[in-house]
Amino acid sequence: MLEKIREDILNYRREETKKNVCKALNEGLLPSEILEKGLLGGLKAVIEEYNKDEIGLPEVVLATWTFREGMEVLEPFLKNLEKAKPKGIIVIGTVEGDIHDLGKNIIKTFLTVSGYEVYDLGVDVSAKEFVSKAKESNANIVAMSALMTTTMFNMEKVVEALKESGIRDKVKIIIGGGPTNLDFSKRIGADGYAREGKEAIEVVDKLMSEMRR
Amino acid sequence: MERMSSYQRVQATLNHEEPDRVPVHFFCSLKSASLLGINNYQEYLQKPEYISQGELSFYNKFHLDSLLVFTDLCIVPEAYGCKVRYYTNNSPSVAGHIINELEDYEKLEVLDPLKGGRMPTIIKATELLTKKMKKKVPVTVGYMHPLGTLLDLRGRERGLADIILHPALLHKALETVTQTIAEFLKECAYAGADGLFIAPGGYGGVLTQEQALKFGIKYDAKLIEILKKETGLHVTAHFCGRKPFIDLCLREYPPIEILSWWDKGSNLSLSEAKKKYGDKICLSSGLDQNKTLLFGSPVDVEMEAKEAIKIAAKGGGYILAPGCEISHRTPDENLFAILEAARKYGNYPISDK
Ligand code: B12
Ligand SMILES: [Zn+2]
Repeated sequence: MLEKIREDILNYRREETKKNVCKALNEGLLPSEILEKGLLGGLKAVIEEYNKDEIGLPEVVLATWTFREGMEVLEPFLKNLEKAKPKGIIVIGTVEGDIHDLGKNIIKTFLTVSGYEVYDLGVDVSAKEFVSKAKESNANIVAMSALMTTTMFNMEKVVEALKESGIRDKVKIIIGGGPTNLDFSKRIGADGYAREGKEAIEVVDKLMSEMRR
Repeated sequence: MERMSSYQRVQATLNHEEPDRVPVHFFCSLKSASLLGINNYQEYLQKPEYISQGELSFYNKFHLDSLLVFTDLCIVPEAYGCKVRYYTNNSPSVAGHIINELEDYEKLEVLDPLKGGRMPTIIKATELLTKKMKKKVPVTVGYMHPLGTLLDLRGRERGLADIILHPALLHKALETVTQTIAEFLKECAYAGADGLFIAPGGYGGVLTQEQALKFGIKYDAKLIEILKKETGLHVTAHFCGRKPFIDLCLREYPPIEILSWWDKGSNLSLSEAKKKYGDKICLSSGLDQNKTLLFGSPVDVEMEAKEAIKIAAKGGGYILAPGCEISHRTPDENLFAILEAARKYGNYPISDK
C-alpha cells in the first residue's frame, strides 16, 4: 500500500492518493509510516528527478499538489500520534517587494522532505512578519529568498530586525535566489547561502549542528 | 570628439565590422525614473512623456550607445485585464489573473495595441524618444515572450501544471498571446524603434528541454519570425538566469542579431560564445551586474571590462554590457567606469596585448 501511495505521488494521481491514504489508515498502518514511506517517499523521488533535470517544475508542482491533498487526509491522524520529531524549525519567505516564489517553494519542499518543519510566509514578506513568526514558532532557521537586485537589500532589513528584537542569537539565517551569493550573505550578516535545493539542505544541516555546539 | 555617432557604432557592430570603439549598453528603468526626479514608479509608468524623458536623462548622464525601453512585464497582462500591484520603488507585479476557469483559455483574443492598457503609453514613449534621438542613438523596445505572458494571465503554478494537464488549451492560447505581443511590438517599430528585444526568461530550472521547445521556444520563434518579416528591425534575444537554454533557442529561432545573457553567472562563458556564435551574432555581455557593478569599485569594473574586451571585441560584433538589467542601487561611478573602459581599451583595431 505504501508503494502504491508513492506511485500515486509520482504520477500525480490526486484522487487515488487520498483514497489510498484512507485505505492505508484503515489497514492499520502507522500514520508516520504512511507519511515517511508513502507521501514523502513519492515527493522525494520527484525531487530527485528534478535535480537530475529529468523533469521540470510542472511535474514538481503537480506532485506537490498531490502530496498536499494526501496530507490533508493524513494530518489529523498525525496530530494524535507522536509525530516524528522534526530536525529543526524553519521560517521561510520571499522578502518585501518581491513576488517570485517558484524557487522558494522548491527550497521549502526540499527542506520539508529532508525532515524539517517549515513555516511558509509566502511572498512580499516584511521584516516584521519574519520576526514575529520566528518568535512565535521558536524557529531555529530563518530562510529568505530574493530574485531581484532591487529587493535583495530588504534581506538586510530582516537581519537588522532580528537583532533589534533580541532573537538574532537564537536563529541562523540562510539566504538564496538569483542575484545573491555567499559574499552578499556575509555582507548583510547572514549565516549561510545556497545556490539550490540540495545545497540548501547541506547548509541548513550544518547551521543546525553549529547551533547545537 | 569620437569618430562615429552611437548609431553608426552600433550599426557597424551589427554588420560585424570594426567600429571606432566598442559600444556600451546597460539599462535600468527605475534609475531612469529617479534621474528624472519621479520617485513613484507607478506614476512614471503611466505617462509616455515621463518614460521618454527618463530614458533621455539616463542617456544624458551615462552617454551609452543604445537605449532600451523596457519598463516592466505587466504591460500585456494588464491590457488583458489582470490586476497589477504597483510599488513606489520597484517594478510592478501581476496580482490577479484572468484565466480562472479552463474555458477562459478559449476566450482570449488578440488585443489592439493602440487600445489596451499601457501598450499605447509605451508606443507613444517610443515615438517621443526616437524623435529626440534623431538617429544619433538607437532605441530598442523590449518585452517578455509569449509563454511567460500567458503564465501570468493564468497564475504561474496553475499555468505550469496546465503544461501537463491541458496542453491543447495552452497551445491555442499561446497562438493568441504571440499575436498580441507581435502587434504591440510592431506598433513600437512603426513608432520609430530601431530594434526589438525579446526576453524568454531562462527556461532551465523551470522547464525540461522538451517542454521548453514545445511551449516556449516554438512561440518565441514565431514571434521573432513575424517581427523580422514585418519590421525588418534587428532583434536581441535576452536570456536571464543561470541555466538558459541558449544553444537550443538559437537553433530554433530565425537568425537573430544580438545575444544578451549573463556570461558571468550562467552556463555559457564569453569566450565560448565568441567561438560558437561570434561570427554570426553580436554578443552583449561581459560585466557582472550582481557583483562587480553593484559591489565592486570603478577599478574592478575597469578590469572586468578590459578582460571582456580582450576576449570578445576582436573583429567587431561585441557590445560591452552587463548580463541583465542593472540594480538601481548600482553606484554611478561604476557606470561611468564602463564607458571610460570602452574608451581606454576598446578602440579598434584591438591589439592582442
Ligand atoms: C519566472 C520569473 C518571473 C515570474 C515569477 C513567478 C513566480 N511566482 O515566482 C513573473 C513573470 C511573475 C516575474 C515577475 C517579475 N520579474 Co521575474 N523572473 C522570472 C525568471 C524568468 C525565473 C525565476 C524562477 O522562478 N526560476 C526557477 C526557480 C526554480 O529558480 P530560482 O528562483 O532561481 O530558485 C532557485 C535558486 O535561486 C535557489 N533559491 C531561491 N530562493 C532561495 C531561498 C533560499 C533560502 C535558498 C537557500 C535558495 C534559494 O534555489 C532555487 C531552486 O534551485 C527570472 C529569470 C531567471 N531565469 O532567473 C526572472 C527575474 C528574476 N525577474 C525579474 C524581474 C525584473 C521581474 C519583474 C520586476 C518584472 C516586471 N517588471 O514586471 C517582476 C517582479 C515583480 C515583483 N515586484 O516581484 C528579473 C530581476 C532583475 C533584477 N532587477 O534583479 C529577472 C532576473 C529577469 C529579468 N532580468 O527580467 N518573474
Ligand atoms: Zn535578464
